[in-house]
Amino acid sequence: VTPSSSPSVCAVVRSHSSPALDAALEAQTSSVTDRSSGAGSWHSAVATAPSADWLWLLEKHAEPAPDALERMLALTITIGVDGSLPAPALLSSKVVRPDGGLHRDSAPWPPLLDRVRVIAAVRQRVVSLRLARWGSLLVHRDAVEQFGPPRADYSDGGGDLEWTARILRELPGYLVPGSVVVQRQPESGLTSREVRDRMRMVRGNSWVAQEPIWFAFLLAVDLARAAREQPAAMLGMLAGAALRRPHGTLP
Amino acid sequence: MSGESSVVAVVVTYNRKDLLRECLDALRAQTRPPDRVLVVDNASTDGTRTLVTEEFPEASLLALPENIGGAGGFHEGLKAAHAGGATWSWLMDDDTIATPWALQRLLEAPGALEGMARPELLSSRTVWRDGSLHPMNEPSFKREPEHYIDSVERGLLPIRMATFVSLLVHRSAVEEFGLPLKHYFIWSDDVEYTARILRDRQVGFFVPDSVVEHKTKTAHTAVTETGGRFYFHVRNSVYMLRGSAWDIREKLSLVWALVFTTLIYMRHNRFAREQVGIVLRGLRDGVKPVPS
Repeated sequence: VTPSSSPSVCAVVRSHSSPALDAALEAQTSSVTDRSSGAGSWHSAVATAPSADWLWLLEKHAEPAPDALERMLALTITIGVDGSLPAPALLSSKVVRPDGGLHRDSAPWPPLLDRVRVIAAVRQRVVSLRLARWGSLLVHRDAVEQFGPPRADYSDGGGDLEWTARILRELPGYLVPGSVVVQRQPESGLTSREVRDRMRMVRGNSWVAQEPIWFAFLLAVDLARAAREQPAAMLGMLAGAALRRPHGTLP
Repeated sequence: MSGESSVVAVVVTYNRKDLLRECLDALRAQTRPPDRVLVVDNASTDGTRTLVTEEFPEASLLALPENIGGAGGFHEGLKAAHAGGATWSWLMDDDTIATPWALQRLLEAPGALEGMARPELLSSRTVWRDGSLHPMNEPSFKREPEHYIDSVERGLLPIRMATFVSLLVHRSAVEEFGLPLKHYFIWSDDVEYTARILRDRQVGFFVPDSVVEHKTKTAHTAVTETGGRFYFHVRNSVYMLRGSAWDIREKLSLVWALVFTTLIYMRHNRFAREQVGIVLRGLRDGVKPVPS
């Protein structure tokens, strides 16, 4: 991915935009060159988005700070300069709740095992990512061309993991702590569809080496946490995941 | 020593004069030198004491009457530094060669963390001779996402444990958690101590810009070349399973790691009677009552 000095950016929303998001996009200090909405799924939103150097995937209830885009774009230009880190194909904002705390549904997943990359990234004040969540993702055109849009047969709560895991297996991506987006949608936590999607992902091909073991372990941890908070809901979730007929092929 | 930020470097050594000289030279060359250097000599027989008194008169020497291992050395050294009023104790082995900015960068971390956390453990980036991360000192990070991002924004990473190869320990940690456990003798004493301090608290950070070289002969991990000392790995792992440094989930990983390393060790030695005996003795002594 080669950075360009004045890149075009198309803001993509999954279904339709909200007035607050419209206002926030108007107020961006870096220009958003195009806008697009899908027909209710991330698959169609990305598949039908007009071409641009970067696609900025935003949740409907996200409200990016005025410099959210600028901070990410600035990084695409500076980060590769000293050669310590490869230029990114994917960037994520820090997605917070209205009270300022990190939004649980959009919490990032740092690389599972690659300490060298983790340390090189922190020296540039960014979080090196192995998986990212929906919220505010800036994805380069080349990555979309190479990996296609998010899969249609995954739920919202799992499709981001699947898509970004595949991209970030090959290409670098970072979370930019200074790029802040407020997410007004309350935290929903784990759903049975997401559990099913993550079970499918364990068997998928988004991984290298021992990563699927880690991914399965992290799912187990999340399930254990859910079980502690709401045992009944957790049982329902597992049953739901087991009973759902898998459709489509493995990723 | 100067009030608030007095730093005592604690260097534990045993029969490695040439490395120790290099280590102490590197301390002299610090952009922010330690206020005091304390060499803890584990009863070396190679003239280490003469070297320190003649070539490094500015250093204090804590001459132990017998070799009580790295664990005992750090125990006694940290105790002495603490009693002397050190705000920070900078722990390292004699084969740790600090780059000139190492201490200064560590001491800048509390300022970078202002408004977030008051750090009690600060760990350097430890590299081998070729500049790559040293496999014996690979940092292990805490993964709580919010704390992680906040730390990264300040150029630091939150850690779950660290080794005594350039580790800055604040006196408040010593006051609350005491000293490293002497009876570990060698290995895992640092892992146990730091993991215990960091178990429920987010006060440990990895400082990527503070760099030290860990000058081991090879960049080995502990398993294949340990010979009889593998005993300590087994015994101390069992000690840790009985202790409070790790939560139950982490103890499961610890069991897994112990099984895995033991299998590698035994296979490497073709399951010879002697090595099997070493492992069994480690297991047996690990479940015995801990010496007080």
